[in-house]
Formats: sequence, structure tokens, C-alpha cells
Amino acid sequence: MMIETMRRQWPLLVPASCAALLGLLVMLGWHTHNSTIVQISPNWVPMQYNTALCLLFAAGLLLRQTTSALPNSLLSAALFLLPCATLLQYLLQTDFGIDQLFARHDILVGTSHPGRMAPNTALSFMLIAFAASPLQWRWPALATASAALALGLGLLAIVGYITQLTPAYGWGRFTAMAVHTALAVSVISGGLLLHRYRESQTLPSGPLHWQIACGLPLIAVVFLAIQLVPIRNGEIWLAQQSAQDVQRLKQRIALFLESHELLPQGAHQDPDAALRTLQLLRTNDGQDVLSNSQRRSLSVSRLAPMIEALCEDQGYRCALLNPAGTMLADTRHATDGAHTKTARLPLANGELQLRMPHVSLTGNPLYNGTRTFVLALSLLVLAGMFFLFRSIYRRTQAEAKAAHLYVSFKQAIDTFSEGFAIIDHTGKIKDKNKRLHDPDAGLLADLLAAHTAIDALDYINAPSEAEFTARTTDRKDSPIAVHIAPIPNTREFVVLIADLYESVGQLKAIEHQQALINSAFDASTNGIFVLDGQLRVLQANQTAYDWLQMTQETIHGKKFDQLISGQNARNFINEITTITNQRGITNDYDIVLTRSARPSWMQARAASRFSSESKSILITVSCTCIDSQKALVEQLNKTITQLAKSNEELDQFAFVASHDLKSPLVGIKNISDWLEEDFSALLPEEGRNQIALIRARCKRMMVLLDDLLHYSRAGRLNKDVEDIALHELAGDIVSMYDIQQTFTLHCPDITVFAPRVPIETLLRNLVNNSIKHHTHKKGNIYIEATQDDAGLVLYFGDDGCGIPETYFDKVLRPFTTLTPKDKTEGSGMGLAIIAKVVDSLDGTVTLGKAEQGGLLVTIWLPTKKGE
Amino acid sequence: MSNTDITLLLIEDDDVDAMTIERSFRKQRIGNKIVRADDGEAALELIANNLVPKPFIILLDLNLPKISGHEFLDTLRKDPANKDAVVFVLTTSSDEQDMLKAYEKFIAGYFVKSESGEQFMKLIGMLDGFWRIVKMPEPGE
Repeated sequence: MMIETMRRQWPLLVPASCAALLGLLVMLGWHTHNSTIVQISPNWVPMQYNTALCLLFAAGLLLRQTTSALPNSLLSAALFLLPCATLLQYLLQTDFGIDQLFARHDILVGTSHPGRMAPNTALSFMLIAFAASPLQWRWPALATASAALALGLGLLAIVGYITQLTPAYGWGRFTAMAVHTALAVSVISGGLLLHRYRESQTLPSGPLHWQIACGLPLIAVVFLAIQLVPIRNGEIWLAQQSAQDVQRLKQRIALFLESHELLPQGAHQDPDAALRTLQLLRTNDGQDVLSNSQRRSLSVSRLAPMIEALCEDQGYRCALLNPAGTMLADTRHATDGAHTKTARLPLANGELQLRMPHVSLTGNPLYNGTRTFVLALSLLVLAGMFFLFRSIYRRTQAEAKAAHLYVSFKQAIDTFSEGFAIIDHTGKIKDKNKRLHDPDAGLLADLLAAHTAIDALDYINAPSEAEFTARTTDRKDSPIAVHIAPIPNTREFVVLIADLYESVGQLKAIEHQQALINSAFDASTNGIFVLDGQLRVLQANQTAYDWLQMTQETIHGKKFDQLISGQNARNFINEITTITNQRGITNDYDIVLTRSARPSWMQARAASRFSSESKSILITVSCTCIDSQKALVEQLNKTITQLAKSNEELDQFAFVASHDLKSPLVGIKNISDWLEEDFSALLPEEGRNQIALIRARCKRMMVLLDDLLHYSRAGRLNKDVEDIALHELAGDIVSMYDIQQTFTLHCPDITVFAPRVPIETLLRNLVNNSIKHHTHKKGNIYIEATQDDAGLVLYFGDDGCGIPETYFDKVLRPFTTLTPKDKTEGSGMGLAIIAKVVDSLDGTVTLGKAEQGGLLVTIWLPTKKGE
Repeated sequence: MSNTDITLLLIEDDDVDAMTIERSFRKQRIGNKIVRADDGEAALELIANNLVPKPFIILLDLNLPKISGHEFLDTLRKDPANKDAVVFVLTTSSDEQDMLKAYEKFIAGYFVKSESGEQFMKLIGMLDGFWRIVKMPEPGE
């Protein structure tokens, strides 16, 4: 973690550590009065205590960039405000008392103000404070420029120290920047710049901004540095000038002394050596005198007018001091200044000092000319650099924008569904997207069929129209559409190629499907109508047109409810209206298609569906012609009615016949009874027999009529089902018919669930038959019954003579007897009634031979158990 | 007034049936007078012309020519003089509807003719008992 932070943040961490170390060291130096640490060299200015403090602030601020533990704003404010106050002191020429707040200035090397930070140092710190403050995020370019400017100032100072160019590190007569301050400022601002450079890498235009922000202040510094050249030249010239003047002055002094015979003749040839033979003495009255070995002497003050005269000539200001520093002579009351050139007049026992104050070259037109030229040149270069930078910046911006646009453009054309290419006027492909059907094509001609390629090349040679459009094929005969349009102001063209293969295929498939649907639609034997939401006919199929003898034109827009009638038509229309709101299918309705050639019965059904294409509801009505079914049903109903009527009539006839035939029969019987009662004695034997025969026939006729009545009623018996105790019922019936009590009933004591009245009728007839037709006086009757989910089966058997199998069918018909009627009184209706009752109950009756020898009647009824 | 004073108005179109009843009266030695009408119209005429001595009870067949038994009953019950007449119905119809319709006209009894003469005997016995026991209002009161 530490190493990782170190690796990433070293441009901040290293300068911060150096600055902190240096600051602490210098502060320690001030406290321990160690001039080596504070000054480095005795001739150089010291690093002020406040500067060392500012170094600590700067170090803190740099560390703050790597961790959020330190109060950012506070540090930057401190680093800004202390130098700012110092600068204000310089500007306002006041003293806020902040210079020696922490340590007394006790260094011998002179500064303009004791303990005060140099103005360039103060400016550098302010710049660093801004570059590292939170404001850097708002104005990143300005922060970079600040750091760059601080770096420039630092570097300038270092170079000044190396080349002994004082103005490079000291501004005028103000305190200069110390050498280690310059180093520290350079390292800190350099670190900040590096950090900012690394930060700028994250943004696309970041490095460019960084370069501009960095370059401009450095150019400004270079501009400042260039200004130093004439200053340095002036200094050199002044130094040489003053050296010559001092030499001339020495010669004059020697010549003057020669004239006063203190020096031998010709001594002015080597004034230094001649002067060294003289001694400086102080007389009792306190005058400084020069004396030679011949003890001749001369007051030093006598030299003054001569020196003054010379200096007046040369335009110097000059002062002559004895070794004790006492002023012996001066010109125009020259005062002791900070920047004074001192010429030494070495004597035998000491020296005289000739001090010449710094003479400004401001008045020198040559010097001024040079300076103006340099300044003008620098400004020119600066302006040139500014415009150069600006154009570079703009061009780079434009390039970045263009690059971005090109990327977007590439992305866009790659997402086209069409092929895209840019060609030059020779037809050579310069750019293309991935959708181009031939990705290896290098020429326009490679993309198109030969004849189209010729046309296309003609077009790009001389574009006569705004666009070239063609539907053609590619080299593999696949259908394509090609568009070529010129790019304005260039000799290039845009080519768009759409692959038509898929769309043509789809179109064909849709057409094919549509044709299938249409043919199916027309081939349907059902009449089909397509309605809109207002139930107007949009379309119908051929079957419907034929029925209605209408066409697409005449049927279109007709309201569907005008086409149909019948008692269900209203309900059908209502139900269609319901499904127009909600998708669905109606029930089937029988309606009449009224508009047709002749009204036809239809079974119709409608279904609705939302058509997403037309954004509306479509209803399809399908009609099936049911005229034939209707006719059949009508025929059937008619037949059923007729059958029911004839059955009714038959029953009525049987009933009326049996009933009405009875009353004359009763009359005949009564009268024959009365004949026998009243006139029996009068009739002969034969007459009495004949009357007996009449009575017997009457009785048979009665039975016949009764049975006929039973038979007619047999189909209309009460069919209510209930639980029947079979043994009890059968026992009652047998005892009713077995008058002589000679028959034995064999019947299980079970309960069956069946219609009571028909069962009773069946049993009565069966028992009657068994007893009546039994060959012996005694006999047995066997009854069995089973009932399950398949229905009820009743077995009735006896031990009588039975019926031959050949008569099984015949005996089930009415009025069928197998024995002469005079032998056994029977109407032949018994089994017929049984058959009719069973038939009316949807059951079956089967005749067979019983185990005991007699007839076995098996009756099945569909009555299930517990139904 | 003795029970033999009560007349039986027999409304019957079938001669044999009428003969059977008359014969039964004779056989049982019942002396009451029998007045016979062939149909409903004739019966109404007889009653209207006071040819039936009062008090009388009526034995009515339903299935009659011209005016049927039911029509006869309707007319009778509207006649203020005879609306209280006691009527027995003797018919071949065992139809429930016929029976209900007849009882709605306040008949005293409904008998179904059977093929044998025995039923007639019982009916005659019942009639003999009826006018023996039942007290009838005096005529003219």
C-alpha cells in the first residue's frame, strides 16, 4: 500500500519531503545561529525564517494532495497570506512587524529589510499556494501556469547564482532569493507540474492544456531572462569603465604628488608602486598627511580638489576615506550608499579608499537603445509565440474533434444495415464499413455488375446529377441497390449499397402466402365476410359473392345486418358488436341470407381480431349453407308429427273401439241372459245350446276387447320408478290368477328398482299366460331378477309346454294364439302387450326355453340400480 | 208421503240399458214410477211440462244425442224450480274429467256402467235404499 502510493505519488512526496527537511534545517540554523546552513556562502543572502516556514507549509500542501488528513484550505491560505503580506510591505513601504516575528535577523550580509523574505520568493510561494490549493480544480490550466511560473522564477534564480547574475535572483535593491530557497522552489513547483501532467493524462485534451499552461509562463520567464542580458552588459561595461577611471585617478594623484615632489618624476607610470612608497601619517593637529622617505609631506585634503575636478569631468561622484573610514574628500557630498564601488589606493602603511557610487546607465542612449531593442525583440517573440501556441492549440483541438468525429462516423457507418464506402474520383475505395457485401473490394467496379460499374464510373468522372441510383446485381448476381453521391468540395463520393436479396425473398414469401390465403379464401364452400368495427363489409369471398350475386365493388361498405334476417339475426348482430370491443368468437347462429337470389338458411359464426397493421378491429363472419339440413329437419319433424298423430289415432281407435264395441255386446249378452231366464222352458234343447253359444262368444268378445284396450294403453303406462319387493308383488299376482291354488311361485325375496305399473302389467300377463296355457293342473313359476349398472334383467320361466322356437317372433304380435280358441280361452294379446310395454320402456324381450321345460321370457330394462 | 211416491226420471238413450233398469226394478219389486227420456232435450221438456211427478230423482246418462248430459245439467241447475233436483249419473265414461265436471254440477253420485248386470243390481239396491232413508222435501211447499 505504502509502496503503491509512493510509486503513484512520488512527484509530490519527494519534493514535499525535501522542502520539509530543508525548512526544518534552516529554522534550526536560525535558532543555533549557524550561518552555513542559513547562508551557504558568506557572500550570499540567507534564507529567511519566514521562507523556511513557508517551505513547511508548501510541504504540507503537497502531502495534502496524496492524503486528505491535512486541512487543505488552511495550509494554502497560510502559504498564500504570509508572502502576500510581505509583498504588500514592499509595495506600501511599510512594516507589519512580521519579518522578525519568529527569529532575529543577525546575519552580517546586508538585506534591504532585516528578516524580510525576498519579493520573488514571496511571489513564488503565492503561485505555489494557488497551484496546490482547492482552486486548482476550478481553474486547472491556471494552476499549472502558476506552478510553471514559480518553477521559472526558481530556475532563473539558480542560473543567476551559477552565472553570478545578481538581477536573476535579486530584484533591484530588494532582498534577493537565497540559493537553497531557489532550489526548494524549483523542486516543489517541478513536482507539482509533474503531478499535474500525470493528472492531465486522464483527459483527452489534458496533455495539450498542460503543455500550453506550462509553456506560456516559461516563455514569460525566458522573456524576463533575456532582459537580464543588457543589464549584465551594462554592469560589465560599468566595471571596466570604473577600473579604467580608478587607474586614471591613481595616475593623476601620482602626477599631483610628483608636482609636489613627494614622488620622483615619472612615478605616475606605475602609480600603484609609487603610491606604495608613501606613508600616511596623522599630525598632531589631527590632519592626515602623506609623507615620503625624504620626509616631505602633504595633507591628504589637498588631494580633494584635484579628485573632485577629475570626477566632475567624468561625471562621477567620489569620496576619499582614510583607513578608519573618515571622509577626507568627496564630490558633491557623496553619501555612503549600499551600491558603492570602492577603489583602493594602497600606501606603504595602509591604503586610502576611493569610493565611487554606482552610476546609472539610464542616461546612456546606446545602453537604452540596446535595452529597448532587446525588449522589443522579446515582445515580438513573445507575441509570435503566443499566436503560435494559440494556433497550435486550436489546431490540436480541431484535430482531436475531427478524430472523435471520425470515430463516431466509423461507428455509425458500421452500424448501417447498408454497405457504405467512400471512393475517390478514380473509383478507388478509400473507406468502407463492415456491411459492404465484398469486404475485400478495393475498387468500385469490384462491387457492381459490369454494366452498372461502367455507368457508375461514367458518373464519377462527370457527376451530372446530384445522385446516381441503380438497381442491379453484384458480381455474384445477388440483387443490390446502389446510390452514389459526391462529397461537396472534394473529388470523393459516398457509395451506399443495399442488399436486396433478403428483402426480395421476404416479399416473395409474403406474396406467396397472400396468394395461398386468397385462394383458400375463395375456394372455401363457406361464405366468408370481413367486416370492420362498424360491421360494414370490407371484403367477401367468391362463395359469398355468388350467393349474393354481388361483387367486391357492390358489397363494399354494405352494413352486414342488412344482408341477414331471421329470428336470430338480431342476437347474432348483438354478439358481433360485443366482440368488436373484446377479441372473441360468437356462438353459432342460424340466420337467413336475405339479399341472396333466394333466401338461404345459414349457420353463421363470427370471430374478431385486432389488426395491428390497420390499427383496427376486423371481424370475419363464416356462413355455411344449411338449407338441405333445414329441409331434412323439417321433413323429419313433419314425419314425427304425422307418426305421433297416427299413433294417437290408432290408440284412440283401439280405445274407442274396445269401449264402444262393448256396449252393444253388453246389450246382446244381457238380452241373451234374459232369453234364458225368461224363456228357457219354451226353447228346445238345441235353442238353449245356441243361446249358450251366443253367451260364450259374447264373453270371448269381451275378453278380446278388454285385451285390446290393455294393449292400446300398454304404451302409455305410468313410468314412475320405485323400489319393488319382487316376491310380494309376484305372489299377489299369482294368487289372483291361480284360483285353484295349484301353482307354486319360486321367486327370491329381493327388491328391484323399476317402474311399478309396467312391471305389474308384465307380471300379470306372464303369470296369466303361464297358468292359462299350462299343460297340467299343477305347475311351477320361476322368477329371477338381477339389477346392476347395465340395467334390470327379469327372468320368467315355468314348467309348462313352452313355445316352439319357430313361433318366438310370431307370438309377440297381437291376436296370435297357438291353440284353438275354443280349447283355451285366449285373445293372443298377452305377449304382444308384454312386447309393447317393454318397447315403450326402451327394453328388450327375448323368448327361450326354460330349464324346467317351459317358456323362458327374458326381459331387459335399462333401469339402473338406484337411479 | 211414502217412498213409493218418488219418481225416477231415467234419461238414457240406450234401450237395452233402460230395459235393464226397468227389469231390475221389477225383479226387486220396486214400485216407484219410472219416467224415461231418450235424450236431454226430451228430459227438459218433460220437466218443463211437469210430466214428471214430484218429487223425483234423476238417473242421467252423459253420452246423449242432441243435448248431452253435461248440457242438461247446466240447464237444470239454472232452472229455479228444479235446480235442487237430486241427480245420479250413470255412464259408460270412466273419464276423470267427466266425473269432475259432473260433480261440479252438484250431482249426488256417479256410477260407471259395467258389462255385467250385477252392477245394475247394486245401483238399483242403492236407489231403493236412498229413497227409503233420505228425507225429501214435500212437493209444492
